[in-house]
Parts: sequence; C-alpha cells; structure tokens
Amino acid sequence: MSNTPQDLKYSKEHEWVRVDGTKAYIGITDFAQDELGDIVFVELPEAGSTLTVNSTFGTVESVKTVSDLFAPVSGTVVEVNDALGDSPEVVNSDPYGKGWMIVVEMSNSADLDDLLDASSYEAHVSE
Amino acid sequence: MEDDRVMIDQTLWPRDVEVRWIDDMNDSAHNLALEQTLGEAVAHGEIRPLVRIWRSALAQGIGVSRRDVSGDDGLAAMNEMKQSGWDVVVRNTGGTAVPQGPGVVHLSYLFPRDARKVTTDAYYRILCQPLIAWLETLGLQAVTGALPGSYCDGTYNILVDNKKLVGTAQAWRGGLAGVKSNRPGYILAHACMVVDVDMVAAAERINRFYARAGNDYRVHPETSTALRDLVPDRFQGMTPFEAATSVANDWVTWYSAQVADVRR
Repeated sequence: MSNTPQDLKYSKEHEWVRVDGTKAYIGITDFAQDELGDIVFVELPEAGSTLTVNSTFGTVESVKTVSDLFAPVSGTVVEVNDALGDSPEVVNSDPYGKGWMIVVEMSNSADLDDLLDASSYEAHVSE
Repeated sequence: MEDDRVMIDQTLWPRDVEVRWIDDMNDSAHNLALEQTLGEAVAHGEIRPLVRIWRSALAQGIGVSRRDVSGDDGLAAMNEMKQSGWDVVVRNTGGTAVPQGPGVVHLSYLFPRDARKVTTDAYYRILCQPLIAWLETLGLQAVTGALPGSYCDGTYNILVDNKKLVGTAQAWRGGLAGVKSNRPGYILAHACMVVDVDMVAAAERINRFYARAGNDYRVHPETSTALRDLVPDRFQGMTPFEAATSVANDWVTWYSAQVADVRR
C-alpha cells in the first residue's frame, strides 16, 4: 500500500505539491515511484524557467522507461533539487522528502483548487 | 500457405494500427526525431497508431540517451566523437549507448496512451513476442533476459545463444509510465536489431564515449551477436545496408500479417 501524506495536494498525473506560502514544492508520489521502478535519471528545468500548469516540466527515467513529468501549478522555478543528479534513487526511497524535485513560485494560486486531497488521490489510484 | 501469424495480446494492440516503413537514411537526427513527430500525431489522433519500421541512417556511430549527455563530461565526449567523424544521436528513450549505422534496423510501436492502467512489462511483451516468433521463422530460438556486459542491458533484451541480438526501450509521453492517463499521449516501444555490424568496433566506440565521459560503464563485445552471424546464408553477398533493408522488407510483411489479425 503506497504512502499518501494528508498534508499534501496531488495531481491526477501523480505529482505531489507541498504549499509553503506562495511556493510549491513538487515531486512524484510514492505510488508513482513504485510503478516506475528503480529511477536512474531525472531531467529537470533550470531555476528561472517558467512553468505552465499541465505542461511538461521534465522527464524521469527508470530502468524500464522514460516518462514525462507534468506541472501541477503555473509559476517560476526558484529551486531545483540538484542532489537528484547524483542520487536519483532518492525519489524511490524518500519521494516526499529528499526526493522533492523543484520549488515553484506560483503565479496563480487558483491552480491549487484543481488538485486532489489525499483521500481523493487514493481513490483516484484505486479506480 | 503457411499461417505465420502469432498469438498477440489483442487487448493492447489498437485495432486501427497500421504498419509503415518510414526512415531518413541521410539525416540520423531527423530519423530519430520522426519518432516524436509521429508519436505526437498518433497521440492527437491525426494519424493511425503505428508500427514504424526503419533503418539507421547511413552514418557510423552510436545512439546515446539524454542521461548520457546530461553532464559536461558527457557533452564533451559527444562533441569529441563528432569531431572525430562519428555520428552521435541522442534518443528520447533511456538506457545506455547503442550501435548505430548501416546494418541496424529498428521497430517502433507508436500507440496512443490507454485510459486503463497498463504496465510497461505488458508493452515489452507485445514488442518482443512477435520478434521472437519472426526469429523462429529463421530457425533461431530466442528468449528475453538481461545480459550484464551487453550494450544498453535490460530485462527485455532479446537473446539468441545467450548473446544479445535486440535491445529494447520505452518512452511514455503524456504522463508517467505504467499508470492510467486521460491526457493525450503516446507510448513508444522500441526495438533495435543488429543485423550486420562489427560489434568489436561498435563496442570500442561505445567504450570510448564512456571513457571520455568519465564513466566506468563498459560493454563487452562477446556478449552481443549480429543476425548475419546467426544466419549467414540469409545475407550472402549483401552489404550491411542491403542486409538491414532485407530485414525491414521482411518485417513489413510479417507485421502486416500480425496487424491484419488484430483487425479481425
């Protein structure tokens, strides 16, 4: 059974969002990392990049495949987890902690209204 | 007439899939970029789901992943190889470097994402199963499995006599792999067969790239084979380009038969 922290918001594309004021910490969920398998590479945007909600912001490569990451909110990337360059496996071992990917200064907080709470996300993955 | 259709997983094959031979022999980057162009057209319903058959462009070199060239050392290694006259293409699927050039033939499924939850393993199986059946028509017994030391090693290598003949990879666009998605997207399931390549020279090129990139990863040529070495009579008198073309021709016929079965 995957872990779904109650204090986070979730996209249907399996990204999580931790809101801190106007900033959003973003990563992929425990369910997603488990489905992907061992992660070997994460390609992320540079700080300063502009993201549009529901557009791709990077890719994640597991031993099985490469797949797209989708922005759950719009805004400007203000921080990137460079540690994933050397240790992408942290996304598997600690998806909600050290496995965070980017921090976005949100340009439209209303984007959060379209995200799921923990129980809705759990229902989504169990459908 | 012998029935050469194999039992394929009907649940994953789009019923309107078609088989097309589409390649650009003069521009390796464009040849590769066609995967994305065609995939996006499939994702948006502009063209039918595809089984694309294609040959490597006429330039000796290697295909690397984005991970391979994500750092300064990888980029420097790529540029150095290009300056030495080798062709280096960056593909959108993952893994490690693979041989490229005349004598390599590719198979790409470009299928729309499924709203259902489907696993990457399922797509690997439907990629490998018909290829293994085709190899059987040549009298070869093939299996899937990992083979440490082979180029771009993975669980779904296709092996003959415990040597790698085909490498496979996937890219899922429009969301994460292995999860359901309602977003327009496509699944690229790709297989790359070495028909006629000097694998000692190819391994040397791959190893040179990784050495220059400061990466300890190395491939061992004795882990790989070429189709020509397995069935030499089949390709007698052919150049590597002609041998790859001959296989591509066979695949058009073979996959058209499989697709016809899906449509029934």
